[in-house]
Amino acid sequence: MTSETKSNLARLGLMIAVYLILAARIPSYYSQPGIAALLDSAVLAGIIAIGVGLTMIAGEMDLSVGSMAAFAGILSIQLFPYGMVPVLVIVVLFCGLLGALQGYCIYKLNISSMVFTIGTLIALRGLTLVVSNEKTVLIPFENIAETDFLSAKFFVFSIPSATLLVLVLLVDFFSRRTLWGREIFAIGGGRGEARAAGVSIRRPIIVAFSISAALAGLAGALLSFRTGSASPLGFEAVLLEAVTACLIGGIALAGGRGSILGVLIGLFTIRFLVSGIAALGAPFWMQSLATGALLIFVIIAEAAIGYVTRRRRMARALTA
Amino acid sequence: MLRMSGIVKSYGPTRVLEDVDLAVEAGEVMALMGENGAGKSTLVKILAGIEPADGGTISIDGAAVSIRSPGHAQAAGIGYVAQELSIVESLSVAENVFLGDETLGFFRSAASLARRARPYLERVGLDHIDPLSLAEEHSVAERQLVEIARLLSRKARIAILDEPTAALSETEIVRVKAAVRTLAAEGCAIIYVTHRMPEVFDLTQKVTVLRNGKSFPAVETAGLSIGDLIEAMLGRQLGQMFPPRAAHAGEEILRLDACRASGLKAPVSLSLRKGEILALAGQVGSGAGAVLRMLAGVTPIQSGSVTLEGGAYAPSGIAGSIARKVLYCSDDRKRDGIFAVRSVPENLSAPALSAVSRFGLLSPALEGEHVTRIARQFGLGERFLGRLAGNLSGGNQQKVALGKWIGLDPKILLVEEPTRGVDVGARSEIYSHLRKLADEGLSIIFASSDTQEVLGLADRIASFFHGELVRICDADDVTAESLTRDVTRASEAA
Repeated sequence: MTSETKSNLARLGLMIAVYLILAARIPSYYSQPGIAALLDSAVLAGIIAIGVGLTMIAGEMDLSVGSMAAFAGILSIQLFPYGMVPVLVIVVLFCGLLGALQGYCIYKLNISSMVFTIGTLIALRGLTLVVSNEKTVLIPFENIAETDFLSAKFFVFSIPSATLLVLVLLVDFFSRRTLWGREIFAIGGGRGEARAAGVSIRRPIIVAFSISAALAGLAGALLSFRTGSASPLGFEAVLLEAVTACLIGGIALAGGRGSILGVLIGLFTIRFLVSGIAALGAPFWMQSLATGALLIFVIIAEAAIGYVTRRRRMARALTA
Repeated sequence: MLRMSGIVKSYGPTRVLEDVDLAVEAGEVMALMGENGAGKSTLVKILAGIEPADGGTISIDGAAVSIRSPGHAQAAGIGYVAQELSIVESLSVAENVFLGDETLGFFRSAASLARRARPYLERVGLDHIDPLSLAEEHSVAERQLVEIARLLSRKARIAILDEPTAALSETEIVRVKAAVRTLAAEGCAIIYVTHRMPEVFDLTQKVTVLRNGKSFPAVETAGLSIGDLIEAMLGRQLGQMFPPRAAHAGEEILRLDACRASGLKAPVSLSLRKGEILALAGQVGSGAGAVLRMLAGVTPIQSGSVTLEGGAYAPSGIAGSIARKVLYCSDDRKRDGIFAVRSVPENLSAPALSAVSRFGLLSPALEGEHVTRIARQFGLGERFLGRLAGNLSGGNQQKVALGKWIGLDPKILLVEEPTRGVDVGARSEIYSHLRKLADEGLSIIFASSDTQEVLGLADRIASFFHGELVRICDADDVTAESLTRDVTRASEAA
């Protein structure tokens, strides 16, 4: 068993433990509509976390995802008359293109992606306000029924939550089993080393930021269609939850480590905790407090395990 | 097979390579030797596409090639095993073997990469390791071997190995040497950069020596004596570069008894007297720097005891050593030595903020006094005081890095590579300032891989090889040749 599998299993164990502890006290946790609601609550942060996670693996971080989602939301509602599926495709492609451009700039200017994406985070929000005329845009009331299928449930899945799960599998496969995906891991794990070995730095950065933006666009469009409206000020808090999911899911801030499946595990660990606390009727601040405590617990545990492993490895090297 | 001719390279005003020629045939191992700063690393980096050359031509099999990026070098069949940039620790061994290889197709599975990597790993003697395991789980030697396996997998026709054994133990070196022979047997032309004499005579057929950025025609290793080789490498005129030694040294101030620390393979015992300059001579990874870092509190003293002026001394960190007035000037000037984006006066007063403050507030008058005193002591002209430290020449930066500590009135100054990246003129100035400080009662220990510097500046010399103290002698009893033999363990090659 590789160390990555072990670490993912430990995280899965933690997620299941959180689920079981809360399920013991909240009956809806094991009812069909309850589970469906849990899955649905994870869609927005989940789809976005996949992309943010990918940029973190590349040793970068895309902070512009919230604004990108809001931008895509406004755009997709405004273009709604052209039909939902074509609009979805166009919006996702357009956001992907913007992301690729963002990646190219970060590569070409050789500046920290944190700095650059703070810039685009602010600028895209401004653009969204311009495009929306600073107003919330709505799907016309007579058409609102057309979006009902997004809320329909098939067993416990809705189309958005199924999309999230399919995307996790796709991007996980992409990151583990393709040349482009492995390049993202390589430049995150050791930029100089990878470059010296002849790995292109440009391509993985562009690919990671493009996927991140496209997924943010998709999340923004899907959620806006489901609610039938989009606010130019929406999706502001999602970045924090996405990054938290990545960190709890084992993606290293320094890059090169972690997996997309891990992000999904981290995401549901948070969702189970937060929804559970809400269902128990605890005040709102408890949710933040518990999420923060969970993150700190996971990071301390990682550090402790890492310390023990390194000691063992050193001991082995000395006896060898 | 490979011919580099007339290679020229400058960094700013400093000319690192002038008109360098190098030629290697297929199946041949060519040693590239020279003192630190002779330009070896720059030359191989040009060939590997990491640094661009300012002039000169490179041809392979008679055809001129242009190499401006690692990608170009790879396309030309050149593989590079670097000293520091090696493998990506967070990837598997198999992925590191095929890192940067785009010929394996877009889709790849860990298992298929492992299967393809295995034959290459076997050929470098790594048949016992799991190709799926992460690279970080393996020793430095095994990582070097993984890199050589990468060269094999690339079918590299020209391989550059830049000090592949600098950080390895004897048994590990044997494995690397075997892997290098495998490479050569497959018809690869190999450029082997090293400081170690045994490897040169054991492994290589020819030697090219670089000295001060100039190359000498390659000679057959077989017809060469160690003496010839050392003479070719050094050959520098000492001239009036070094100040006269101390007439006499004071009482003992520091004593190390059987001390061990990370980077040392055997306990080290030595002593230092007041006003004495002690050199720790050795190449990268020799342990000379490790002794300084231990004394500075950077790495803990694992066993043994240190006595400072009769009392026990065990600093628990840099702050601990500073409190005892034992000050350490690292060899990584950019990272540890100066605040590049701050002015020279700010740099000089930085460690002594409490001395230049009144009631917890900085006093410009005190600071000015402090700075002027140091600047005078270290020959830093008035006109440099308004500049940012990062914009100074290497020599003046080093004066700032050393001078800031002098302001604290140290008892012992620990200096690692006192003149790395410093031009000749500034070197001799720094030597005379250090000697003057020693004459005033300061004790200095410096670690250096520069033979002339060790011989010229030190009162006593402790030579290190491979984490072990070889011997301690008075500088008068040491010659360039005997010292070079000690720090390269030439005796093992004979």
